[in-house]
Amino acid sequence: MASRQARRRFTVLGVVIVISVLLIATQSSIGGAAKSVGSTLLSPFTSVINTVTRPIGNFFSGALNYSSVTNENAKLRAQIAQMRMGQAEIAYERRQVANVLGLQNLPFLNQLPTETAQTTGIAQSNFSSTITISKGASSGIAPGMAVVGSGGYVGQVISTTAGSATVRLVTDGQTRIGVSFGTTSVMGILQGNGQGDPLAVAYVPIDSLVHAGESVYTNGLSGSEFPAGIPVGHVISAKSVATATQMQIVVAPDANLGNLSYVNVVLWEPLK
Amino acid sequence: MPRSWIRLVVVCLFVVLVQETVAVHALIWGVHPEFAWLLAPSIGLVGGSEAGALGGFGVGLCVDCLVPTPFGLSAMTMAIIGFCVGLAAERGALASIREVWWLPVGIGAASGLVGVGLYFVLGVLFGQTSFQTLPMLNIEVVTTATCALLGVPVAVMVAWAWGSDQPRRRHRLRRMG
Repeated sequence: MASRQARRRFTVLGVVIVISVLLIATQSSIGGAAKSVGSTLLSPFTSVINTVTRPIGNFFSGALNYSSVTNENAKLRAQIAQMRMGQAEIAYERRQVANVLGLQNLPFLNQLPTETAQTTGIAQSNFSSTITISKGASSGIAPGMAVVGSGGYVGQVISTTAGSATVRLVTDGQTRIGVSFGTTSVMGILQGNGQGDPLAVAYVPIDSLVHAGESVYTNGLSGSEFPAGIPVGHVISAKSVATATQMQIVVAPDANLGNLSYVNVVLWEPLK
Repeated sequence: MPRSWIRLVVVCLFVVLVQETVAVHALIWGVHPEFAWLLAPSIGLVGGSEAGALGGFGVGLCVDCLVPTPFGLSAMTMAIIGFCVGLAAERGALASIREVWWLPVGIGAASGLVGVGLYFVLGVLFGQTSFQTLPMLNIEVVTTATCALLGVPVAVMVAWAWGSDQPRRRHRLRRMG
Protein backbone atom coordinates (compact mmCIF):
# COMPACT_ATOMS: atom_id res chain seq x y z
CA MET A 1 0.00 0.00 0.00
CA ALA A 2 2.74 2.40 1.10
CA SER A 3 4.92 1.47 -1.85
CA ARG A 4 1.98 2.00 -4.22
CA GLN A 5 1.49 5.48 -2.76
CA ALA A 6 5.19 6.22 -3.07
CA ARG A 7 5.14 4.99 -6.68
CA ARG A 8 2.14 7.21 -7.39
CA ARG A 9 3.87 10.27 -5.93
CA PHE A 10 6.98 9.76 -8.03
CA THR A 11 4.85 9.03 -11.10
CA VAL A 12 3.08 12.39 -10.68
CA LEU A 13 6.44 14.14 -10.38
CA GLY A 14 7.75 12.25 -13.42
CA VAL A 15 4.72 13.19 -15.49
CA VAL A 16 4.94 16.91 -14.69
CA ILE A 17 8.69 16.89 -15.40
CA VAL A 18 8.15 15.16 -18.76
CA ILE A 19 5.41 17.67 -19.70
CA SER A 20 7.70 20.56 -18.67
CA VAL A 21 10.61 19.18 -20.71
CA LEU A 22 8.35 18.80 -23.75
CA LEU A 23 7.07 22.37 -23.35
CA ILE A 24 10.60 23.78 -23.00
CA ALA A 25 12.18 21.67 -25.73
CA THR A 26 9.51 22.22 -28.36
CA GLN A 27 8.78 25.87 -27.48
CA SER A 28 5.38 24.89 -28.80
CA SER A 29 2.67 27.17 -30.07
CA ILE A 30 0.82 26.34 -26.83
CA GLY A 31 3.53 28.23 -24.94
CA GLY A 32 3.35 31.22 -27.29
CA ALA A 33 -0.42 31.35 -27.08
CA ALA A 34 -0.34 30.98 -23.28
CA LYS A 35 2.16 33.83 -22.99
CA SER A 36 -0.01 35.98 -25.23
CA VAL A 37 -3.10 35.23 -23.13
CA GLY A 38 -1.08 35.85 -19.94
CA SER A 39 0.10 39.27 -21.17
CA THR A 40 -3.41 40.21 -22.25
CA LEU A 41 -4.88 39.22 -18.89
CA LEU A 42 -2.10 40.96 -16.96
CA SER A 43 -2.18 44.24 -18.91
CA PRO A 44 -5.31 45.71 -17.21
CA PHE A 45 -3.79 45.05 -13.76
CA THR A 46 -0.45 46.52 -14.81
CA SER A 47 -2.19 49.52 -16.29
CA VAL A 48 -4.20 50.18 -13.11
CA ILE A 49 -1.15 49.75 -10.87
CA ASN A 50 0.94 52.03 -13.10
CA THR A 51 -1.81 54.65 -13.14
CA VAL A 52 -1.94 54.58 -9.33
CA THR A 53 1.77 54.33 -8.54
CA ARG A 54 3.35 56.48 -11.28
CA PRO A 55 2.04 59.90 -10.08
CA ILE A 56 3.04 59.06 -6.49
CA GLY A 57 6.53 58.03 -7.63
CA ASN A 58 6.85 61.10 -9.86
CA PHE A 59 5.70 63.40 -7.03
CA PHE A 60 8.30 62.10 -4.57
CA SER A 61 11.00 61.97 -7.22
CA GLY A 62 10.24 65.56 -8.28
CA ALA A 63 10.05 66.83 -4.68
CA LEU A 64 13.29 65.17 -3.61
CA ASN A 65 15.23 66.22 -6.71
CA TYR A 66 13.67 69.64 -7.38
CA SER A 67 16.92 71.52 -8.06
CA SER A 68 18.31 68.82 -10.34
CA VAL A 69 14.98 68.69 -12.21
CA THR A 70 15.07 72.45 -12.91
CA ASN A 71 18.74 72.23 -13.96
CA GLU A 72 17.93 69.30 -16.24
CA ASN A 73 15.04 71.26 -17.79
CA ALA A 74 17.35 74.16 -18.59
CA LYS A 75 19.90 71.79 -20.13
CA LEU A 76 17.20 70.05 -22.16
CA ARG A 77 15.92 73.40 -23.52
CA ALA A 78 19.43 74.28 -24.63
CA GLN A 79 19.83 70.83 -26.22
CA ILE A 80 16.52 71.19 -28.08
CA ALA A 81 17.63 74.53 -29.50
CA GLN A 82 20.91 72.99 -30.66
CA MET A 83 19.16 69.98 -32.16
CA ARG A 84 16.73 72.19 -34.10
CA MET A 85 19.69 73.95 -35.63
CA GLY A 86 21.44 70.66 -36.36
CA GLN A 87 18.29 69.18 -37.86
CA ALA A 88 18.07 72.02 -40.34
CA GLU A 89 21.70 71.47 -41.31
CA ILE A 90 21.49 67.74 -41.84
CA ALA A 91 18.17 67.69 -43.68
CA TYR A 92 20.01 68.19 -46.95
CA GLU A 93 22.56 65.44 -46.14
CA ARG A 94 19.78 63.02 -45.24
CA ARG A 95 18.11 63.59 -48.57
CA GLN A 96 21.37 62.84 -50.32
CA VAL A 97 21.98 59.64 -48.33
CA ALA A 98 18.40 58.50 -48.84
CA ASN A 99 18.76 59.04 -52.58
CA VAL A 100 21.98 57.00 -52.73
CA LEU A 101 20.59 54.14 -50.64
CA GLY A 102 17.34 54.27 -52.58
CA LEU A 103 19.31 53.67 -55.75
CA GLN A 104 20.70 50.51 -54.18
CA ASN A 105 17.27 49.41 -52.90
CA LEU A 106 18.51 49.56 -49.32
CA PRO A 107 16.12 50.64 -46.55
CA PHE A 108 17.03 53.82 -44.66
CA LEU A 109 15.83 54.46 -41.16
CA ASN A 110 14.51 57.96 -41.81
CA GLN A 111 12.31 56.76 -44.63
CA LEU A 112 10.73 54.02 -42.56
CA PRO A 113 7.45 54.47 -40.70
CA THR A 114 7.63 54.28 -36.93
CA GLU A 115 5.05 53.87 -34.18
CA THR A 116 5.53 55.76 -30.94
CA ALA A 117 4.60 53.84 -27.79
CA GLN A 118 4.79 54.45 -24.07
CA THR A 119 6.76 52.14 -21.81
CA THR A 120 4.23 50.59 -19.45
CA GLY A 121 6.31 47.98 -17.69
CA ILE A 122 9.83 46.97 -16.90
CA ALA A 123 11.43 43.53 -16.75
CA GLN A 124 9.01 40.98 -15.32
CA SER A 125 11.82 38.65 -14.39
CA ASN A 126 15.37 38.82 -13.10
CA PHE A 127 16.25 36.37 -15.86
CA SER A 128 15.61 38.68 -18.82
CA SER A 129 16.02 42.37 -19.69
CA THR A 130 12.72 43.42 -21.20
CA ILE A 131 10.21 46.26 -21.22
CA THR A 132 6.53 46.26 -22.09
CA ILE A 133 5.16 48.97 -24.37
CA SER A 134 1.65 50.35 -24.78
CA LYS A 135 1.08 49.35 -28.42
CA GLY A 136 0.94 45.99 -30.09
CA ALA A 137 -0.32 44.00 -33.05
CA SER A 138 -3.32 46.30 -33.60
CA SER A 139 -0.86 49.16 -34.35
CA GLY A 140 1.07 47.07 -36.86
CA ILE A 141 3.81 45.99 -34.45
CA ALA A 142 5.14 42.46 -34.99
CA PRO A 143 7.78 40.27 -33.31
CA GLY A 144 11.26 40.94 -34.69
CA MET A 145 10.85 44.69 -35.26
CA ALA A 146 13.53 47.08 -34.00
CA VAL A 147 12.76 49.56 -31.24
CA VAL A 148 14.63 52.87 -31.05
CA GLY A 149 14.52 55.86 -28.75
CA SER A 150 16.38 57.94 -26.22
CA GLY A 151 19.46 58.17 -28.47
CA GLY A 152 19.65 54.89 -30.39
CA TYR A 153 18.73 51.23 -30.66
CA VAL A 154 16.77 50.08 -27.63
CA GLY A 155 15.88 46.49 -28.45
CA GLN A 156 13.74 44.08 -30.42
CA VAL A 157 10.06 43.17 -30.14
CA ILE A 158 9.84 39.53 -29.03
CA SER A 159 6.10 39.12 -28.52
CA THR A 160 2.91 41.07 -29.05
CA THR A 161 -0.69 41.13 -27.93
CA ALA A 162 -3.38 43.31 -29.49
CA GLY A 163 -2.55 46.28 -27.27
CA SER A 164 0.97 45.69 -25.98
CA ALA A 165 4.36 44.31 -26.93
CA THR A 166 7.35 42.95 -25.05
CA VAL A 167 10.74 44.33 -26.09
CA ARG A 168 14.02 42.55 -25.36
CA LEU A 169 16.56 45.24 -24.46
CA VAL A 170 19.91 45.46 -26.22
CA THR A 171 21.68 44.54 -22.96
CA ASP A 172 19.93 41.15 -22.69
CA GLY A 173 22.31 38.22 -23.04
CA GLN A 174 20.30 36.87 -25.98
CA THR A 175 20.86 39.96 -28.15
CA ARG A 176 22.75 39.31 -31.41
CA ILE A 177 22.90 42.10 -34.04
CA GLY A 178 24.93 42.50 -37.20
CA VAL A 179 26.77 45.84 -36.91
CA SER A 180 29.29 47.99 -38.75
CA PHE A 181 31.70 50.59 -37.39
CA GLY A 182 31.49 54.27 -38.34
CA THR A 183 32.55 54.91 -41.87
CA THR A 184 34.64 51.73 -42.23
CA SER A 185 33.53 48.49 -43.84
CA VAL A 186 34.42 46.47 -40.73
CA MET A 187 31.52 44.37 -39.49
CA GLY A 188 30.83 42.18 -36.47
CA ILE A 189 28.15 40.70 -34.27
CA LEU A 190 27.07 42.75 -31.27
CA GLN A 191 26.13 40.78 -28.15
CA GLY A 192 24.43 41.80 -24.90
CA ASN A 193 26.15 41.01 -21.61
CA GLY A 194 23.34 41.53 -19.14
CA GLN A 195 21.76 44.55 -17.51
CA GLY A 196 24.24 47.26 -16.54
CA ASP A 197 27.17 45.72 -18.39
CA PRO A 198 28.61 47.10 -21.65
CA LEU A 199 28.02 45.32 -24.96
CA ALA A 200 30.63 43.30 -26.84
CA VAL A 201 31.27 42.91 -30.56
CA ALA A 202 32.53 39.54 -31.75
CA TYR A 203 33.97 38.21 -35.02
CA VAL A 204 35.98 41.33 -35.87
CA PRO A 205 39.35 40.27 -37.36
CA ILE A 206 42.56 41.20 -35.54
CA ASP A 207 44.00 44.63 -36.39
CA SER A 208 40.82 45.89 -38.03
CA LEU A 209 40.46 49.67 -38.17
CA VAL A 210 38.28 50.05 -35.08
CA HIS A 211 39.05 52.72 -32.49
CA ALA A 212 37.59 53.95 -29.23
CA GLY A 213 34.86 56.53 -29.75
CA GLU A 214 33.75 55.12 -33.09
CA SER A 215 30.00 54.81 -33.63
CA VAL A 216 28.36 51.43 -34.16
CA TYR A 217 25.36 51.03 -36.49
CA THR A 218 23.18 48.16 -37.65
CA ASN A 219 24.66 46.92 -40.92
CA GLY A 220 21.41 45.97 -42.68
CA LEU A 221 23.06 43.19 -44.68
CA SER A 222 20.90 40.96 -46.82
CA GLY A 223 18.87 38.71 -44.48
CA SER A 224 19.49 41.02 -41.53
CA GLU A 225 16.66 41.51 -39.05
CA PHE A 226 17.05 45.31 -39.03
CA PRO A 227 17.45 48.08 -41.60
CA ALA A 228 20.88 49.70 -41.95
CA GLY A 229 21.94 52.79 -40.07
CA ILE A 230 20.30 52.48 -36.68
CA PRO A 231 22.82 53.88 -34.17
CA VAL A 232 23.48 51.21 -31.55
CA GLY A 233 26.38 52.52 -29.47
CA HIS A 234 29.97 53.73 -29.48
CA VAL A 235 33.21 51.86 -28.91
CA ILE A 236 34.68 52.21 -25.41
CA SER A 237 37.74 50.08 -26.07
CA ALA A 238 39.11 48.00 -28.95
CA LYS A 239 42.10 45.70 -28.39
CA SER A 240 43.98 43.24 -30.55
CA VAL A 241 45.55 40.56 -28.38
CA ALA A 242 48.42 38.74 -30.11
CA THR A 243 47.21 35.22 -29.37
CA ALA A 244 43.51 35.89 -30.06
CA THR A 245 41.71 35.28 -33.34
CA GLN A 246 39.43 38.29 -33.04
CA MET A 247 39.49 41.77 -31.55
CA GLN A 248 38.11 42.44 -28.09
CA ILE A 249 35.67 45.30 -28.57
CA VAL A 250 33.55 46.82 -25.81
CA VAL A 251 30.63 49.07 -26.74
CA ALA A 252 28.41 51.37 -24.65
CA PRO A 253 24.80 51.62 -25.84
CA ASP A 254 23.76 55.03 -27.22
CA ALA A 255 20.22 54.74 -25.90
CA ASN A 256 19.69 55.85 -22.33
CA LEU A 257 18.15 52.59 -21.13
CA GLY A 258 17.45 54.07 -17.71
CA ASN A 259 14.99 56.55 -19.19
CA LEU A 260 12.67 54.89 -21.67
CA SER A 261 9.37 56.64 -21.12
CA TYR A 262 8.59 56.61 -24.84
CA VAL A 263 10.10 54.56 -27.66
CA ASN A 264 9.61 54.25 -31.42
CA VAL A 265 9.00 50.90 -33.07
CA VAL A 266 10.43 50.77 -36.60
CA LEU A 267 7.66 49.23 -38.69
CA TRP A 268 10.02 47.28 -40.90
CA GLU A 269 10.30 43.55 -41.43
CA PRO A 270 12.97 41.81 -43.49
CA LEU A 271 11.92 40.43 -46.86
CA LYS A 272 11.32 36.68 -46.64
CA MET B 1 -13.04 20.69 -7.98
CA PRO B 2 -12.76 20.76 -4.16
CA ARG B 3 -13.30 24.16 -2.57
CA SER B 4 -9.78 24.10 -1.11
CA TRP B 5 -8.30 23.96 -4.64
CA ILE B 6 -10.45 26.91 -5.76
CA ARG B 7 -9.26 28.97 -2.78
CA LEU B 8 -5.69 27.86 -3.52
CA VAL B 9 -5.98 29.01 -7.14
CA VAL B 10 -7.23 32.43 -5.96
CA VAL B 11 -4.37 32.78 -3.44
CA CYS B 12 -1.76 31.69 -6.01
CA LEU B 13 -3.08 34.07 -8.67
CA PHE B 14 -3.06 36.90 -6.12
CA VAL B 15 0.58 36.24 -5.14
CA VAL B 16 1.71 35.85 -8.77
CA LEU B 17 -0.10 39.05 -9.81
CA VAL B 18 1.41 41.04 -6.94
CA GLN B 19 4.81 39.65 -7.91
CA GLU B 20 4.44 40.56 -11.60
CA THR B 21 2.79 43.96 -11.22
CA VAL B 22 4.00 45.51 -7.96
CA ALA B 23 7.29 43.78 -7.11
CA VAL B 24 8.71 44.34 -10.60
CA HIS B 25 8.78 48.08 -9.84
CA ALA B 26 11.11 47.52 -6.88
CA LEU B 27 14.85 47.15 -7.44
CA ILE B 28 17.28 46.02 -4.77
CA TRP B 29 20.92 45.82 -5.90
CA GLY B 30 19.64 45.95 -9.45
CA VAL B 31 17.28 42.96 -9.16
CA HIS B 32 13.58 42.52 -8.42
CA PRO B 33 12.42 40.81 -5.25
CA GLU B 34 10.77 37.50 -6.21
CA PHE B 35 8.45 35.64 -3.88
CA ALA B 36 6.35 33.44 -6.19
CA TRP B 37 8.93 30.77 -5.30
CA LEU B 38 7.18 30.49 -1.92
CA LEU B 39 3.94 29.07 -3.28
CA ALA B 40 5.13 25.61 -4.30
CA PRO B 41 6.84 24.75 -0.97
CA SER B 42 3.89 26.20 0.96
CA ILE B 43 1.51 23.94 -0.96
CA GLY B 44 3.86 20.99 -0.41
CA LEU B 45 3.99 21.77 3.31
CA VAL B 46 0.21 21.62 3.77
CA GLY B 47 -0.78 19.26 0.97
CA GLY B 48 2.06 16.77 0.67
CA SER B 49 4.29 15.78 -2.23
CA GLU B 50 1.60 15.18 -4.88
CA ALA B 51 -0.13 18.48 -4.20
CA GLY B 52 3.27 20.19 -4.02
CA ALA B 53 4.29 18.86 -7.44
CA LEU B 54 0.94 19.61 -9.10
CA GLY B 55 0.52 22.97 -7.37
CA GLY B 56 4.10 23.96 -8.15
CA PHE B 57 3.60 22.94 -11.77
CA GLY B 58 0.40 25.03 -12.02
CA VAL B 59 1.93 28.09 -10.35
CA GLY B 60 5.00 27.71 -12.56
CA LEU B 61 2.89 27.64 -15.71
CA CYS B 62 1.13 30.83 -14.54
CA VAL B 63 4.49 32.52 -14.01
CA ASP B 64 5.74 31.20 -17.38
CA CYS B 65 2.78 32.89 -19.09
CA LEU B 66 3.97 36.24 -17.78
CA VAL B 67 7.75 36.18 -18.23
CA PRO B 68 9.77 36.04 -21.46
CA THR B 69 11.87 33.01 -20.44
CA PRO B 70 11.09 29.53 -21.89
CA PHE B 71 7.58 28.25 -21.25
CA GLY B 72 7.75 25.34 -18.82
CA LEU B 73 11.00 26.25 -17.04
CA SER B 74 9.40 27.77 -13.94
CA ALA B 75 6.80 24.97 -13.95
CA MET B 76 9.46 22.27 -13.79
CA THR B 77 11.51 24.07 -11.12
CA MET B 78 8.53 24.79 -8.88
CA ALA B 79 7.13 21.26 -9.29
CA ILE B 80 10.43 19.79 -8.07
CA ILE B 81 10.63 22.15 -5.07
CA GLY B 82 6.98 21.60 -4.13
CA PHE B 83 7.45 17.83 -4.37
CA CYS B 84 10.61 17.79 -2.23
CA VAL B 85 9.12 19.95 0.54
CA GLY B 86 5.89 17.90 0.43
CA LEU B 87 7.82 14.64 0.68
CA ALA B 88 9.81 15.93 3.66
CA ALA B 89 6.56 17.04 5.35
CA GLU B 90 4.88 13.67 4.72
CA ARG B 91 7.80 11.79 6.18
CA GLY B 92 7.63 13.87 9.33
CA ALA B 93 10.88 15.72 8.70
CA LEU B 94 9.01 19.04 8.91
CA ALA B 95 6.61 20.12 11.62
CA SER B 96 3.34 21.96 10.91
CA ILE B 97 3.19 25.75 10.77
CA ARG B 98 1.18 25.83 13.98
CA GLU B 99 3.84 23.84 15.85
CA VAL B 100 6.84 25.81 14.61
CA TRP B 101 5.77 29.23 13.30
CA TRP B 102 9.21 30.14 11.94
CA LEU B 103 9.40 27.01 9.82
CA PRO B 104 8.08 28.84 6.71
CA VAL B 105 10.86 31.42 7.13
CA GLY B 106 13.52 28.72 6.86
CA ILE B 107 11.70 26.82 4.11
CA GLY B 108 11.04 30.09 2.27
CA ALA B 109 14.70 31.12 2.39
CA ALA B 110 15.84 27.65 1.31
CA SER B 111 13.25 27.51 -1.47
CA GLY B 112 14.26 30.93 -2.79
CA LEU B 113 17.93 29.95 -2.75
CA VAL B 114 17.47 26.48 -4.25
CA GLY B 115 14.66 27.57 -6.62
CA VAL B 116 16.66 30.35 -8.27
CA GLY B 117 19.75 28.12 -8.44
CA LEU B 118 17.81 25.24 -9.98
CA TYR B 119 16.06 27.59 -12.41
CA PHE B 120 19.47 28.91 -13.50
CA VAL B 121 20.96 25.43 -13.94
CA LEU B 122 17.93 24.07 -15.83
CA GLY B 123 17.83 27.21 -17.99
CA VAL B 124 21.48 26.80 -18.97
CA LEU B 125 20.92 23.06 -19.63
CA PHE B 126 18.04 23.98 -21.94
CA GLY B 127 20.16 26.40 -23.95
CA GLN B 128 19.56 29.74 -22.22
CA THR B 129 23.18 30.88 -22.57
CA SER B 130 22.13 34.45 -21.70
CA PHE B 131 21.62 33.29 -18.08
CA GLN B 132 25.40 33.16 -17.72
CA THR B 133 25.54 36.96 -17.96
CA LEU B 134 23.15 37.49 -15.03
CA PRO B 135 24.20 38.86 -11.63
CA MET B 136 23.34 35.54 -9.97
CA LEU B 137 24.78 36.42 -6.56
CA ASN B 138 22.54 39.51 -6.31
CA ILE B 139 19.51 37.53 -7.51
CA GLU B 140 20.18 34.73 -5.01
CA VAL B 141 20.68 37.10 -2.06
CA VAL B 142 17.62 39.28 -2.81
CA THR B 143 15.34 36.31 -3.58
CA THR B 144 16.44 34.40 -0.46
CA ALA B 145 15.90 37.45 1.76
CA THR B 146 12.50 38.24 0.19
CA CYS B 147 11.32 34.65 0.51
CA ALA B 148 12.46 34.52 4.14
CA LEU B 149 10.62 37.78 4.91
CA LEU B 150 7.38 36.76 3.22
CA GLY B 151 7.56 33.07 4.11
CA VAL B 152 5.10 33.30 7.01
CA PRO B 153 2.32 35.38 5.35
CA VAL B 154 2.37 33.29 2.15
CA ALA B 155 2.39 30.02 4.13
CA VAL B 156 -0.53 31.25 6.27
CA MET B 157 -2.52 32.25 3.14
CA VAL B 158 -1.86 28.87 1.51
CA ALA B 159 -2.74 27.02 4.75
CA TRP B 160 -6.00 28.99 4.96
CA ALA B 161 -6.78 28.17 1.33
CA TRP B 162 -6.01 24.50 1.88
CA GLY B 163 -8.10 24.41 5.05
CA SER B 164 -5.33 22.86 7.12
CA ASP B 165 -1.70 23.43 7.97
CA GLN B 166 -0.67 19.78 8.06
CA PRO B 167 0.09 17.33 5.27
CA ARG B 168 -2.64 14.94 4.15
CA ARG B 169 -0.89 11.83 5.49
CA ARG B 170 -1.04 13.06 9.06
CA HIS B 171 -4.80 13.57 8.80
CA ARG B 172 -5.20 10.08 7.45
CA LEU B 173 -3.12 8.64 10.28
CA ARG B 174 -5.09 10.61 12.83
CA ARG B 175 -8.39 9.41 11.38
CA MET B 176 -7.13 5.83 11.38
CA GLY B 177 -5.89 6.15 14.97
